[in-house]
Amino acid sequence: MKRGFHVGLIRFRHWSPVFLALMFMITPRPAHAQEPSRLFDESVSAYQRGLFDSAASGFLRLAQGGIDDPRVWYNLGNAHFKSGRIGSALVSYRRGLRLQPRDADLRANYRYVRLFAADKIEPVGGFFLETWWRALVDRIAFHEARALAAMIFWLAVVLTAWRLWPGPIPIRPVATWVVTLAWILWVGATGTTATCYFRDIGSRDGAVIALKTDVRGGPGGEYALQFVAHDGLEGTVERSESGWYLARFPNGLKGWIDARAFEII
Amino acid sequence: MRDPLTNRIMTARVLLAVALAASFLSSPVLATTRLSADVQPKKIAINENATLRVVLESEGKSLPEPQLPPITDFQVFSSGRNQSITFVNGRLSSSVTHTYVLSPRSAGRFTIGPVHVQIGGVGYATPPMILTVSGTAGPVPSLAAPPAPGGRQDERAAARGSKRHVFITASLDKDTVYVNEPVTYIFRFYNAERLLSSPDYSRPSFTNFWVEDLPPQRKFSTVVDGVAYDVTEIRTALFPTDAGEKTIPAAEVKATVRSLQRPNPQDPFSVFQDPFFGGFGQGEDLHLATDALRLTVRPLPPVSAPLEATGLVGKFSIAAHTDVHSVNVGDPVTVSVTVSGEGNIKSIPSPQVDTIPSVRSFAGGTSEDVGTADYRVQGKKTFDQVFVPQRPGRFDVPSFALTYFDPTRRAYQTARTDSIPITVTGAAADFTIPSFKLAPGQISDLAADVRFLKTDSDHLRRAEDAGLFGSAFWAGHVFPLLGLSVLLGWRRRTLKEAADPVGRKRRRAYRAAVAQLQTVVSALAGPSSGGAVEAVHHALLNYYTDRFNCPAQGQTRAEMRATLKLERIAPAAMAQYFELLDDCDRRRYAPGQDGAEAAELATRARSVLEALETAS
Repeated sequence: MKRGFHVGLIRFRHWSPVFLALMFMITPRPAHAQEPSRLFDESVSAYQRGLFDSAASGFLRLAQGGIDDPRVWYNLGNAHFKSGRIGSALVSYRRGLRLQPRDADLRANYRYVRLFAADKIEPVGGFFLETWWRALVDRIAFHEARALAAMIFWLAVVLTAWRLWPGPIPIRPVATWVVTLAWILWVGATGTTATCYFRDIGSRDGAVIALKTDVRGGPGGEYALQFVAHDGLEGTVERSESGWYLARFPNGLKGWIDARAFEII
Repeated sequence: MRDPLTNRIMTARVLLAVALAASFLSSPVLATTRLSADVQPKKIAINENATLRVVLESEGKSLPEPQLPPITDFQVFSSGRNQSITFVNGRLSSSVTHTYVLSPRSAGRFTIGPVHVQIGGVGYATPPMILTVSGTAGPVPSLAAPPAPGGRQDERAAARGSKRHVFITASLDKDTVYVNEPVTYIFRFYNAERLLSSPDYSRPSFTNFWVEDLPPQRKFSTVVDGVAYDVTEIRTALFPTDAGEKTIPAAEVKATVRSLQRPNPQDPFSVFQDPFFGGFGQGEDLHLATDALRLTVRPLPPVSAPLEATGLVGKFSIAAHTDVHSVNVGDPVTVSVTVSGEGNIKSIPSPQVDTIPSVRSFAGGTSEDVGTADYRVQGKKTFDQVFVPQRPGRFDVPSFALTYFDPTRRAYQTARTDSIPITVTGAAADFTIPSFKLAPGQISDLAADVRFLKTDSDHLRRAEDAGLFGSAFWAGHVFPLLGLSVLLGWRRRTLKEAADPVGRKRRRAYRAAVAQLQTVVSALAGPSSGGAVEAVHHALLNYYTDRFNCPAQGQTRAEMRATLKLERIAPAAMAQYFELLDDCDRRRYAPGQDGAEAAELATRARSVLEALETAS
């Protein structure tokens, strides 16, 4: 009995890091429920009273305080729009759409506010497969793709274990195909997750947030003026230098824009 | 009925025609590019100049330089390039005007052009132009030599410093200016000799200056120290970009004049060097340089509030104009603000405008027109400002203001436009969609307003909850993979053993025998000890059978020895093994076995088996 306890203790010492890690994973985090909810309600109230700047400020404080909720981004977008800041509204909606890409309200308001951007740009068409893939992936949030990939992974692992288990398997030829299919599905789900990851984290999409700003041929005010961009013009930052962004716009035009006039999502 | 080959050829031709038509129709450059040229006036005197303007309009921001045709009967000077860019509703278009001054070399009727340009693989050309030059000199304001900016003394000094009757001078029309105030650099080439080649003029590097050429060259005659010179004058406008004492380096000219060296009378061919035969005289290369010039550039005085510093220096006026004075809510009103005057036109900033409540405003395009009449940089720059009213009623386009520094008054001046009243009709909306911005496909997206707020504040998600790849994610992937690896290893081992039963028995022979011996020892500790020696004997033979894959039953000792020898068992271990087997045989049939003997045999058997394992 005593020897059994001793052996058990030794085993626990060996496995204790794993147990501790698992304990850390499943321990509930401290709740911060009260303060953000109150600020959220106050900001909603300010919006309802027509104090759009104040509402935007409240929602922005929530976001800066670590709240990454689609409702906050949606409301912040509305408050920005009502305050006349088209580019900031578009950026907020895009941040919300990252988390809830199929939210009908977010999509509707994003489309609506885009109409107010002064510069209408015809995007350069891509290869149809790429367009189709983007349209598909744009309807999936990163965390959804990640959860789906994890579920398929577990399913594939369980099926593989069943297939590898020594002893007779009733439907062995079918089992092999089922396992192969599960791993193919997992590769697809992982690819989707990676695409969503680079779309959300790696992407440097954004919009012009100044009423108007010069787009120049180089990173500085001394370079030649290429054209003037206005509030709400969306683009992608390719690189930055000395406080200027090299932005690429959907119609293929490129130019350097003051970083203060462009917000990255 | 056509044969298959003919069908294929026809199909290929149709596809090619469709592709060509599609590429033609889809080419935005082809549809919008315009090239035009005009020369004014059409008739000039031999001592007058004509101006050639080439206008290129196209989509895109970088337009190529037009190619002028060879114009051998005129001296051609570039008089500048003006570009205006507009970016409205997502379409970028440019208009570039190139201006050239044509100075005739002889009288006659000349055809100029066509001017060519190539954009996107498509060539464009203007129609040819006719310019008539009459041999009679036109009215000349003053044929007398203009006074040398540096004075007659400088001319004389330069003339005396030259060995030949060829010299150059450089001067500035002012010695002290403010930052961005124009100063004219005047270069003169004095020549009283026959030149054997065109002089090669190297302009100094105007570092820290904006530079604007002031064509055309002036030609006149003057007398310096009793020698009549033909003078060519080139003027350049300079705008200093910063304050301080500036030095403008020397300008240089390389020219070849007839040598003064007399022909050698002994040389029979020297007769051809005589000027009488013209062109065969020896040339002498001259390398002329002016003195460096000094210029004091003063900083602009500080601007007092509420004026805003623009850095603009000169004399300017400003005017605002719109064709529309009554619009509906959401319709745009474009106001053109034109700043004109004398100074650095290209550096004119967009005028300041105050914001108007309920009216969105944004900048449109800009265009500039720079001229150099009377050797002064002057012109105008036009800014378009678009206003989109959001509510009905009346609003005033506010006054546009431009602050500049007037160097003659040595004070800042502010030019302003009058406000322009605009009447707005229609229904109010928070942000009515400007109708001019909508593409046809976007009509379906119209709505009265954004959808309303989301008011539910429960369970707001924190950023850390949305962690991308947390420890749980990795644990959830690594542990199952480890489990699969273990399972795979176990499976491989099981399959391997199933496929090799002999080997499996061989690997397990020692452990099986030891387990059997352990059973014997355990049995001896109990009440029954019968058959223990027999069990030890069996354990030894079973080991032999499993380990060496030979059934021990029915083999003689000699056969067993031969087998162990083949397996390279050490002779000592072999001897111990057979001695123990013999002991077991003896005691099995001997009466009166006791437990102690059997235990001793089991212990010996274990050590013998161990020796066999290590000896093999």
